[in-house]
Amino acid sequence: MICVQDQRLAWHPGMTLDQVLDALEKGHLYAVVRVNGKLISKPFFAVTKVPDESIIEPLPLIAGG
Amino acid sequence: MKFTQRQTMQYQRPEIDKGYANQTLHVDVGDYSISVKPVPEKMKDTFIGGKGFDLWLMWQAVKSTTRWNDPENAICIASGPMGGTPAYPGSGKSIVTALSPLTDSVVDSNVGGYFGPYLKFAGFDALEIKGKSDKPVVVVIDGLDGYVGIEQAQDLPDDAYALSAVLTEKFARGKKRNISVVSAGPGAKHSYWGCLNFSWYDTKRKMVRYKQAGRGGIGTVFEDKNIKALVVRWDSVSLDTNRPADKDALRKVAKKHSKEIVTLDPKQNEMARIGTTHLVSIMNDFDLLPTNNFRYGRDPRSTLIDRDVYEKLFDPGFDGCWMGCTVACAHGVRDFIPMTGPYKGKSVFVDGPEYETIAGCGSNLGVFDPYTILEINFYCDAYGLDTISVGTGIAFVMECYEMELINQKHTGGLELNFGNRTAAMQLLHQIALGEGFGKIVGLGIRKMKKIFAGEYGADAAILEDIGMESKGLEFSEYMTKESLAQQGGYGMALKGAQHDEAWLIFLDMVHNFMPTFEQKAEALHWFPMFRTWFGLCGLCKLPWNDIVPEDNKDTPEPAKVMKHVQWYAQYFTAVTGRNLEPNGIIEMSEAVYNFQRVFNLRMGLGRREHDKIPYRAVGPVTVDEYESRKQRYDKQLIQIFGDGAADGTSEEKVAKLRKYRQDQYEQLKDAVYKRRGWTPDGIPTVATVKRLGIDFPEVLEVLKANGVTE
Ligand code: SF4
Repeated sequence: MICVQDQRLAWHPGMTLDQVLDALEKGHLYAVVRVNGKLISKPFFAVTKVPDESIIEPLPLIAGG
Repeated sequence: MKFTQRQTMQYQRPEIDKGYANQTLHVDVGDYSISVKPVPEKMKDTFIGGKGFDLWLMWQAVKSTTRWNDPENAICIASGPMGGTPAYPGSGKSIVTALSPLTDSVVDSNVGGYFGPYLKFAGFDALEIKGKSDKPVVVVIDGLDGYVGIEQAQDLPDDAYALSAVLTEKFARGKKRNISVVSAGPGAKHSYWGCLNFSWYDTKRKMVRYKQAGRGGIGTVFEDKNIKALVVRWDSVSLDTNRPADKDALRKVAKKHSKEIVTLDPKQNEMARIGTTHLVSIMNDFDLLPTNNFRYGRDPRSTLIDRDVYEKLFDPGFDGCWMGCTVACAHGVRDFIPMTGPYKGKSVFVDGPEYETIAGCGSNLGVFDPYTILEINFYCDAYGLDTISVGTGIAFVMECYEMELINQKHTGGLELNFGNRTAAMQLLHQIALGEGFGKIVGLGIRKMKKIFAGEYGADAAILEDIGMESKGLEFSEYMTKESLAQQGGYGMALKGAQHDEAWLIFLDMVHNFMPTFEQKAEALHWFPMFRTWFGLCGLCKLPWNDIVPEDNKDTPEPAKVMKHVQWYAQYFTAVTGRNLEPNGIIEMSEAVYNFQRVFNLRMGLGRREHDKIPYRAVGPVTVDEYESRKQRYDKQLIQIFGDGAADGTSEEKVAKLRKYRQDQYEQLKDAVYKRRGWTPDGIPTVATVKRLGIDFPEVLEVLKANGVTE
């Protein structure tokens, strides 16, 4: 299992961050996500493998600055 | 240290009423006069407070012919009706305005620290300072004793770091938290990049801290007036001090927002722990981190200056720049020992760095050493220099040096290659002291371009392309090449190239939420207007959208964070008693925003031609830049012009892309001007100023003089 924004989701081996966000409603809105304390940006979502028991926190960086 | 009183005024402090003191303070340091004027209801209705009040006072103080160093140029400082509320996060801002030495028009800068709120509680919604003193002076506003004084000061330290500390000590009468000091420094005296340091006393660390009103050279105006410092004294602050119209409603909404931040910040941007430093790696990942004068957007060495590094360097503790701000992002580094300059070898506290300073004085100079960035940050503050203009300005000089547009003959022997941190530090000290090549650099990019072309024989066209300024103000630290909307966010910003009006890069470039010109124009209407409102009220923008409700993504327009907009409207109503709905916020701001555009026009800066940006902000200037993003640019050429468009030499492709992108930017201007109710030349129409209630005879006169009669 992994935890996304306090929700538990099923995990499978080889799972990428892209797949995690695809499974979320409006997951496309996220440009930056924190995976186990490390920031990952959209260009790297597809190549980032998510380990089991990961804690994933999307960042609300959308109109900041 | 010796003080001689030149003028004093005793006054009866008014009770604050629903966020307003209902009077303004006017000090002339030239003829040593002090006066107080009432705030009419109409002024509150139209200009709200903060930047609105500043602009209105300035409008009356200056003429179209006034220049930045004329005695009648005014420095105005105001918080706003909500400024000084301790429970609502981000409610202690001051907004400062003056005619800028960089832009020759009015510039505004938003700053933390305690000065603005204390000024209001001392009895004044705004302070206007004019004149030029023949001797250095300190202006003291003592809200507890009901006293304003202009004092000649001798033997005070020059730099802001030491000056704020000694003045806090002198005027505190044992309660240092009661004091806030505004000061500049020698860098402000010797360059056009002067900032103002606004202090507060950090009771936990037992030291004076400060934040900067950085943009536009207001510190330079301050030094030109021969003002050493402004000191305000006030006592404790509670929810009652601002006398809100509805304290219960205020407490309720403040609690909601404050609690949400405490709960969600640790899960979101972690600003209470790392400030804005997380942006370094994010910008780098998206190819948006200004590197080598905005030439590139990423560098593998960025990990050396990112949040993980500064998280370890920051001194842990509560870092709100106003009481009760739960975002608490104003971090600093304890026991830093500079390697150069007057503080060499001494232990100092560095207030910062924030993202802008890291990017501007780090990656944009090709410097990836966190300690050099800290040292530049420290000296910029102590000298009274704006880190953004310093970073962008030195980056420009470095590129000129690498392109051989200037050489060691001009730089006085400094080898100003990208990455040469020793030379960067030397240049910074020169700027601050007005020595050597630093004297020219400190005039700002716009003036450097003229000198390099006119006196050094450099190619004027390339200087125009790579000199990152707009309206004379140096760009802040975001790459706009791949976001047309953000190009507009910088180019059409009233004061020049600062991102505080609109930050649309992610919405535009990353998410492609606004593909049409009309959608971009709508964003370039709503966001600048909404963001303007913070400056009218004495608020910080960060709590609005840097921490958002968990269900924000499920709302129709997540970028606007409408739940917070609703809370802000309630907050305004609770303090002022004036009923405000979320939509009303935009209209309130529009009046002041358009007034500032007309002010620009009056000063010769408010037309379409002034909204231009250097090509470096629009697309690749050089072949090397094109090739660094070849895939992206080739793809775009094919999308626009069809198969075969990406054939040919890189020079040809640079030219083709340039023509297309420049044309896009002009089309964007058309769409934005239309949306804002402006003429195709970028001037508010008579119908627009009438709709907004700013159709004063002087405003109509300015419009008429510029050919706008309907
Ligand atoms: S969010 Fe940061 S900058 Fe804004 S008021 Fe709070 S501490 Fe100051």
